[in-house]
Amino acid sequence: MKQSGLNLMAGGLLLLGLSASQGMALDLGAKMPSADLKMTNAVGKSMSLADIKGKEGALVIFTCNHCPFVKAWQDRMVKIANTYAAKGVGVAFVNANDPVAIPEDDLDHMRQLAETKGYTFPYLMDETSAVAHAFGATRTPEAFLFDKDGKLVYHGTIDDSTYDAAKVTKPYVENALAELVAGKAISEPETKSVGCTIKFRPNAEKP
Amino acid sequence: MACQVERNIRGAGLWLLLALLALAASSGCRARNAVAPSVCVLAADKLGERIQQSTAPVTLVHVWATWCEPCREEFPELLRVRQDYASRGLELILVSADSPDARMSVERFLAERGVRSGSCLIDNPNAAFIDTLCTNWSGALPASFFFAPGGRLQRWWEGKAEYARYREASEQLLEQVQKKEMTK
Repeated sequence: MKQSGLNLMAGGLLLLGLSASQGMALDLGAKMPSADLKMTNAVGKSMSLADIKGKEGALVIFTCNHCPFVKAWQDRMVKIANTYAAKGVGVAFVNANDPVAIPEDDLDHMRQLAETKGYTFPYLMDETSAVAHAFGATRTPEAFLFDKDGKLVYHGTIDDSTYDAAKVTKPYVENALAELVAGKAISEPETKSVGCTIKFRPNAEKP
Repeated sequence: MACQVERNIRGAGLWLLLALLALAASSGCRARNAVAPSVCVLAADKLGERIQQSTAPVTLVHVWATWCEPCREEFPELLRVRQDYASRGLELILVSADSPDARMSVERFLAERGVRSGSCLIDNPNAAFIDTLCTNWSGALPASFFFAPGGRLQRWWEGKAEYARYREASEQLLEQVQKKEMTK
């Protein structure tokens, strides 16, 4: 990876960076947190992340309806999720946004989106944003992939081309899923991109 | 019949001419009040070059989006910062993370706020873009980065800030540059 002088300078300001970061995300190798916490799926059924675990592992993507980055990635995300849900990876899309702040992210709109886009997996509402806090998730979309032992093996974004699917050179999540299912180590376990900030509910419980 | 059609065409031509004249007059009027802001689509490496080549004592790169609520809320404060510190050497580079398809919305947003200097629009807000500004940035919007000449990152934060925070950072960094120049 190319490291410009600018990046080196930026690295020198690590302390400043840490103080400015929003929250501490889960470390690689960490166990899935809040797995038993009940959430409501888009059709009103109560379920937890423990319920969705597959024989190969589990993919949890914090997402929502309204975010323009989510919209740009939506079709790619659903395609990947549907493909690997069929290959034994449990999948859940989780919406932790406060629908009072963003009406487009309420349960009704979630159901409509899941139907229109053909989700074959649950789209869950994290009703107190507690699951997002436990994961240290801050953005949408933000993916967390766990292996069959429930340990985090991938955390980050979807791919390296937000707006243009034709220009993807690194399909990060897809690669990680393929490696997981093949029993290989994840070659790029942590990635990032610009995303929408999760609109947490006011006074949401923090772990 | 042919005559009738021809007359109609002539009639239509006249109306078209009048409409064009009216449009020209109204756009001329708009042009006097507010020049359409220019929005250029930029790749991360070009943005990096632009920051490194900036000769301003302090370059503030601000990443935002038209649909981002906190960005919209702090925008007036940001413009006030530029108004107050441009004469002392602060250059503001606006970088929108809107989709390149949304260029018109960005132009409209800027025009409504009287920003004639325009904004860059990043073609792909991926990891390469994040690392161009600061490797520790999570990618949350809005985000502000203060650079010294040559592209040395001096200070940065993510999330909305008030005028006082921008003022404090601008004052401090401009003072540092002044002190350096005096000791030269």
